[in-house]
Amino acid sequence: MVFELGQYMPGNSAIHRLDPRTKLLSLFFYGVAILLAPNATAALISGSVIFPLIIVAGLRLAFIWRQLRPLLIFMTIVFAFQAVLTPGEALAAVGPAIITREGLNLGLMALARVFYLVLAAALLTATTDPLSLADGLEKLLRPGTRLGLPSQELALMLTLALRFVPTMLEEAERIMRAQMARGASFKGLKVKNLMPLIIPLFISAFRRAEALAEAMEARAYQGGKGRTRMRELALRPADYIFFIFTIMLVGSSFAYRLLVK
Amino acid sequence: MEIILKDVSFAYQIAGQQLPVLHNIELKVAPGDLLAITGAGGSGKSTLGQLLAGLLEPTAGKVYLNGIPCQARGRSKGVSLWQRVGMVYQQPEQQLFAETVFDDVAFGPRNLGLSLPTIKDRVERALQAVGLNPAEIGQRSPFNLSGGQQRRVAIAGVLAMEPEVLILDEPTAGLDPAGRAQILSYIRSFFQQRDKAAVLISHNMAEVAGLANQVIVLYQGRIALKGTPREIFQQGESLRAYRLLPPELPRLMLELRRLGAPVSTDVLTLAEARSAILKWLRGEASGF
Repeated sequence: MVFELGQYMPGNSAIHRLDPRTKLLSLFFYGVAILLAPNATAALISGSVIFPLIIVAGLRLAFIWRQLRPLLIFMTIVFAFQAVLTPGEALAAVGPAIITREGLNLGLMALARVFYLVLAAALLTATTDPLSLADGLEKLLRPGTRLGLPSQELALMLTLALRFVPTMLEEAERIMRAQMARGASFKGLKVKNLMPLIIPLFISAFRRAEALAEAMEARAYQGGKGRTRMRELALRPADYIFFIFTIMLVGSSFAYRLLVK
Repeated sequence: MEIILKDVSFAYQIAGQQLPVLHNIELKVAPGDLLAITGAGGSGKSTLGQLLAGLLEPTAGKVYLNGIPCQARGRSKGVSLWQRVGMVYQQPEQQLFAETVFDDVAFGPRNLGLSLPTIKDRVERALQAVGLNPAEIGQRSPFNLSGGQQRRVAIAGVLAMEPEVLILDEPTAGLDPAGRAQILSYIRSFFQQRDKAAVLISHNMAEVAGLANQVIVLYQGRIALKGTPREIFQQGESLRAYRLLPPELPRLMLELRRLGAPVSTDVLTLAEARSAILKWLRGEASGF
């Protein structure tokens, strides 16, 4: 049981070196571009710009596969429902279910959307270490501070959450083994069976949160206002170029949609 | 109950990579053994304990229970021999979850499918074995107890399974001296029952010295030394090579000897040290 979704893969590729803000915004606009695509072909083509980026980032096929694997069932179900339940010109019949041309189109489109979005999100988290991800997010949310959005606190919460995911998983595994030693069984999804795991896990999470809060206070943490940082984010020419390409992608996707409609 | 590890190796899988922890371990735990596993941090002590308890599956080699090769817990179906091996984890109080002390200690026996009167009987005996009064504490919430009491409840939860082999991972870590002494005395009284064996994992050599009848020293995932506490602790300064601090009394005796006092270095307890020193002071030559 090793948690691989959203794992950071240290490296020094061009993608790794991009500013986290560029990557976050590009992820957003890439998503918009894919969702704007009016049919399966357009979705498949516009999303494919992710492949060269994955290669440049130096991510291995096995890694990509591990990111997609948990969503395989979900993707199959989405595809099947779209393919079968959309009325239209019949193409083939699987038992009582009839696959239509329109359904196939919609199904493929849904499949492409999920597939590309997962890939893009995996690319972002694999090439951006959690700390700079939080930094980037904070900077992007900064304008909202005037409206009362606690951007620094939100970013800190995100960093802490990301930081403690592996710790909690490790802990869960340890508690599971300890309870197994007492004859517990975690087979089946009965809530009652999970109590011996969930309760100790929550207690230790709260205890850890309290200790962390005290440690931060002891080091005079007083919230976000006026905090400086060791590494200041700075946009470089590569960031502008990358971002221009992203905007071009959204633009063409939008234009195509207008033309086709 | 006899546990044998034959040529067992273990590696953790982290992000698709192998992190080897133990290499070619040969080990046997039989009734009457009180085995201490010591070693510096990261030497693989806890992992070895979990292999002995059937909580991890070795990446190579085999584990035999009473001569029968066994897979780790949860892999084989039905009643397994592992039920007869109990494991007390590091900081076992973190595994408490039930509303009352009674329910928590009863968790194991309930999983064994015992009848209610038997469960009650076992819970009471287990709590008494760790010096807690079932009538007084049984209906309280385990989370309102002191740290030391919580640990004793957690240990009772394992004792209530009536294991034949009890494995304890750093059972005294984080307790005050009185709490330590208590826990160690429960381990001793468990071990003194018939046909029981215990495995004590500890980095504290002095703690191990007075209790165990067999010691192994792990170093970088291999068994570096194996013997009785006397044999091991007489190594003195060479224990430092395994990143262990030799226990204080043998160190004192070695130091005295280096300074010219002909005392025996074969000393484990305070009483032994005292008589050895008195013997020298009264001018009786020790046998060397």
